Amino acid sequence: MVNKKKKTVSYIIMILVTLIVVFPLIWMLLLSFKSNAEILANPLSLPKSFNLDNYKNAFHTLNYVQLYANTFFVCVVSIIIELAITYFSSFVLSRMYFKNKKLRSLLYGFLILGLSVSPFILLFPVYKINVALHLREQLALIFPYVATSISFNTLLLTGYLKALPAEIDEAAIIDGCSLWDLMFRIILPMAKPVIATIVIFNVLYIWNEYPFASVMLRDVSDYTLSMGASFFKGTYTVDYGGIVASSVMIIIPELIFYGIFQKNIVEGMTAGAVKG
Amino acid sequence: MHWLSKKRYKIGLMLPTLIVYSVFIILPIIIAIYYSFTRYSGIGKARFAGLSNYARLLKDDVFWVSLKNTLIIFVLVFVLLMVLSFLLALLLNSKIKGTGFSKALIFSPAIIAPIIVGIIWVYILDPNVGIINNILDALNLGALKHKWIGGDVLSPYSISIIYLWQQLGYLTTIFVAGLKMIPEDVLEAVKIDGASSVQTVRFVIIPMMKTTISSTAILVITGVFKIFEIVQQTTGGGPNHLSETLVTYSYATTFTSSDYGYGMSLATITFLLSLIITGVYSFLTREKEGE
Amino acid sequence: MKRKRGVRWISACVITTMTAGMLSGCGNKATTNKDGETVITFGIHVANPEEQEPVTNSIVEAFNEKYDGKYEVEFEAADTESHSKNMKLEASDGTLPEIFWLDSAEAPEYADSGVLLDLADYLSENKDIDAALNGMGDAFNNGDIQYGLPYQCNVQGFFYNKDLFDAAEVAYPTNETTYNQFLDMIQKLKDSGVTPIAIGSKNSGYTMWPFNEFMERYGWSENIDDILSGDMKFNNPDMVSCFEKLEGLKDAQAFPENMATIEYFDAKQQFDDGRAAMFGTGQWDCSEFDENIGDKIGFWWGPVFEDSSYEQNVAMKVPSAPIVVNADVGNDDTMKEAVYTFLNFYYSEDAAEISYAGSIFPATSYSDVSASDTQYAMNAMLTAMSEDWKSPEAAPDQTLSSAVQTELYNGIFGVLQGTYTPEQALDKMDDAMSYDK
Repeated sequence: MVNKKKKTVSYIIMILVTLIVVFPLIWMLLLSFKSNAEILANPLSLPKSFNLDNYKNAFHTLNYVQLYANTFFVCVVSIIIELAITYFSSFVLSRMYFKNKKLRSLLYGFLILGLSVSPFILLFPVYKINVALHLREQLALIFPYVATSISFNTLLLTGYLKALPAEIDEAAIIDGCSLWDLMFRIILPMAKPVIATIVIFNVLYIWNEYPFASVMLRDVSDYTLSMGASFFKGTYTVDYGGIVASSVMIIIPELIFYGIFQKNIVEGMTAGAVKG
Repeated sequence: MHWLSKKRYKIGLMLPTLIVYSVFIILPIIIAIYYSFTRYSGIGKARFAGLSNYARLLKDDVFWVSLKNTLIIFVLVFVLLMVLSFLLALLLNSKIKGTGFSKALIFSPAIIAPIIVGIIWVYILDPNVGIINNILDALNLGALKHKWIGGDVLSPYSISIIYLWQQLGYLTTIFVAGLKMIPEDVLEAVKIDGASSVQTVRFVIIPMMKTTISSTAILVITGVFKIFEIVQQTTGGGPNHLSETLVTYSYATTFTSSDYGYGMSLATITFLLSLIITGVYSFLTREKEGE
Repeated sequence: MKRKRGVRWISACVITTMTAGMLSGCGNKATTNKDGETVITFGIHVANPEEQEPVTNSIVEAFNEKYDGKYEVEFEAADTESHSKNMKLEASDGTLPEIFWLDSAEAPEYADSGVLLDLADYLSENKDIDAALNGMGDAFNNGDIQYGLPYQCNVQGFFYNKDLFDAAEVAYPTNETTYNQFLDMIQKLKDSGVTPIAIGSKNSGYTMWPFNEFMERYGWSENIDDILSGDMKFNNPDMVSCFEKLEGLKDAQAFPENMATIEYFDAKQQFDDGRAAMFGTGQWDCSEFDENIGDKIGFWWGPVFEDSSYEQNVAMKVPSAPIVVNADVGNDDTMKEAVYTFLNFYYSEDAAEISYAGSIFPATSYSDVSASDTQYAMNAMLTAMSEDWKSPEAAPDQTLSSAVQTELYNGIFGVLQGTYTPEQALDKMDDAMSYDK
């Protein structure tokens, strides 16, 4: 009896929380079918009809093929680079032998420090550094993205790799494995879940990132998706319909992507952040 | 492993990360700190100004207001987010149907660009056109209507709620993952011993999830000190800087008033504060682990 | 052997990406395109000029058509905030566009740092343009160089909806309407169930346009030099009475309840929809009002103040932000000619006609150009301007540095929302001044 009651309460709470969380999203989708004047004048009403004008307008104003392509390109390149380099460094920090244990925690702490850095403190200096290094166009974005991901990736990767039993290495070495083989043939396949998690979070981060993109990109042909919304807000005019529609255009691929990889998030988290 | 850990391998493997990290994170921080000792409008040359920006900070009401707001948000978010997401994780980890679906949906706000989160919530909290006040009106509860955002008092609390909404699913997911790590048989054994649910959580689950809890806490602490778009979209820091947080105030001084020197001193303080809180937290939890 | 491969692979990777970075940075900025046209880049403060600055976009299109095969103007477009950031950053690495829009508050600093071309020569070579500008460019002369020319001409004040005034049985405001009559007007409008004055403060500090007239009528132009030089404070009896008038509007509950959470755009929509009786703005909103309010629109400079000893017959017809030219253009004769040709076109009578057709006042004053009958809002402004009152050299808010300007905006909205007293608001401006030195 008690158990059944408890179950019902659990259900009610679960459904309630889910509804509260999802409601704003559904509501945004509804907004995107309303005209700009309707949104401004009567934001609470339901859309009068299934009106696709905002989307037509968004497609007319923005070259979505290019925006998606640019964003995709920046995403893929940044993630390949950051995964490569942070896998190496995390491998060192989590599995290699340090005579000086302090040095290891110092390096780890140093790399984790970046979690505390707000991107806004970096904007202006990073721009200057990009100029000094002649990094332009997409490259001006890729390096900051790689750099800002290092801390998070290190947190997850070292946590995960540390938890794999040390016997694996010993067995591999006895079998005559090189460091290279150990890293790529043996440990890497075992790290798949955490790598999946890292990829997912970084894809979402880069897909949504606005501050760096708005400062580093100059040419419209290099723009990424998150810059799209700025096209609908001028000094004297605003098109909320366009902003909402372009926001939905950003979110849809994310939802699909999330839907596909949803399971990996939990799996990777289990292994990464959890064991810490 | 010992003999593969040659110095040059370690250096070679660490180097790319260290280079990128130093050039694009550490160097910029140093540059920002340097500018915090200057007067600089963004054009021309910066003039060295010693500690004057920091002296100004102490006298600046808005700085104290934004510090207060940031701390309100920090305390509220930290407590609520940690507790609620932990409880929700316990619920979603229980063996009832539909948890998978619910988990997926609850996580969804975390994938949305924060700037869009802000836009959505304006229409919920706005004192005139927002859903909440309109519903209260419709229910004849006009007395409960408040200026959730844009008034003198409530904005930082509302901002905490919005951030809570956005992060809840993210943290719940981490906690669910942590719960999955606890071996079934341990829980079974505890149950057989006749422990109540509360006792199980208090004496078995929490101690076993210590590391999960502490890495989550660090993500929350550092996350709170980066909240920006939500404030910008809901109140723009207004009215009159009353809802400003350290990050938004630093942004406004740097890019709106073109006061780079002062803006960077605010950014430096924000960074240090976040670092100190994270450091203190790690220190405290590390001590406990040593028991 | 195999072990080394790993390390080598890493270094190869790093080197490749780094070199790729270096190489891509080496391309010089092209000044001619594939058709052999000289390309002039025009940095503009909106992301989508076609929609958000249609008049400038049309002028540029007309220019490109007229000089097809010779010159081509291309926009470097970003929203105002990003534009302002970008120009600063580009000034620091010498990649500024040839021509660009600048905020009035920021332009003097660019001039001081030497990145802007002195346009005095241009004006003396082109006397007709100088005459057509009729002193509009004076605000952008720092006594040393003519660092900019006006982008457009701004006319600012209150627009009102005659229908709502009729419904509330209130007489339309006139040039003689005093501040106390204004307060009565607000009360009656409020009683009739509409918001008297629409305004939003969220991210919209710059939308204090109608209050420029308030400050001017309390002697802003006469005193500002003394204030900026430190001989006088913002917190002086004149400015205090001016700000007390703003406080009076707050006490009269002239504004929307949610003004703190709405932006300029939402406020404008309230006026468009007939939910608010007045809205303070400038000529850039004319076409929107023609569409929504039609011939029921009226324009008013604002109330006169009986307690002020300063000239009350002033109009607020002022240069908007400047457009400036990159100093590097001066070292490149072909580019200089191209830019001068563009400026000639930008300030020509043809361009003025395009401007009027789009309900924007150009910076030039050609007597033959005028608005059509259906441009109601613009005609309402022209009626107000027919008195031929004098205007200040620049709008009060445009005479300050960014830091003080931000404090002015902050102060005005603080008083309008009751978070600051007039004295507090003015003290904050004085503080900002002292840090600015």
